[in-house]
Amino acid sequence: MWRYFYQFSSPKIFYERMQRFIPWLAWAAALCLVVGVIWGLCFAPSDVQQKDAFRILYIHVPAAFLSMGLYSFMGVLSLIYLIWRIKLAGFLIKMVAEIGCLMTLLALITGSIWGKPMWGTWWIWDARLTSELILFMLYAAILAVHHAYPEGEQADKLIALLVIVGLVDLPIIHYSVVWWNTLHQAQTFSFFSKSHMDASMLPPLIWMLLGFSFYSSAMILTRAKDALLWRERRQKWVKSLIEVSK
Amino acid sequence: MTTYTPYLVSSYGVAFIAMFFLLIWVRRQRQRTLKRLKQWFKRDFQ
Repeated sequence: MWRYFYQFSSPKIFYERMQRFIPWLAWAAALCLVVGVIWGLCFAPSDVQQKDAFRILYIHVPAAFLSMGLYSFMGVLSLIYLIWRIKLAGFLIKMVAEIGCLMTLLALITGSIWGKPMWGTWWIWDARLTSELILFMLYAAILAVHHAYPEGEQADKLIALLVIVGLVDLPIIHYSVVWWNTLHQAQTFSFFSKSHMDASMLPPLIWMLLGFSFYSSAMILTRAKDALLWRERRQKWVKSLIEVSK
Repeated sequence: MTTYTPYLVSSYGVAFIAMFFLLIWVRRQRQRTLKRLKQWFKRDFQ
């Protein structure tokens, strides 16, 4: 099994396997999102206090979950790159940052739309909101460094270090609702403990979480696959691949 | 139509429009990469 995963560090094998794998991911994402949206909007019962506005959480929670999940993944990739010098890991960080940045922005926007009818304001300098905004700025900084530096190992190293420094924001986001008295509600959904959400409201959230995850993975891998092709353009396998596609 | 319908429509709308545009952008980037590569190989051979 380890050998199978180890083979992914070869750009050629990575490209070939992703070429087959991405369409499956894309179809899985479409299916999960369609089921999640229909179930969430039409069949899930409305909340006693929040009424129909709670349905915004079916978009907001997956986006917020992925904004943090993708940053954690970037942290793992940065460590792999800095410790084992696997170039593919350093290269993948930038692709993950593009999608993570969008997910963070979506979490902020949908949260703001939910905040207006529930809190009476679009924005407040609450600990959770502010730390999530800092996460968005971190993603933006990583993308800015990526565009400012020419491609190469120096840029990869700088980005990996920046990601590791930014990891400190993740526990702050997660525990902000515990450490401080915030307007943002405490955690209602957890994979590891009993959820505070009613069981009848949970399935659409799980479908949407899966849909967002599959969608993000498909986008990241497609971007990575193409950027890899350009980066490896001096290799024979890329040359033969382009000749075949002509 | 309830009081919350505009909020629901705008949040779902923003999310899915953003995701759709990202999909289009990713596909365009792919075509751009292939075009760049073809030009690069052409120049290389000349």
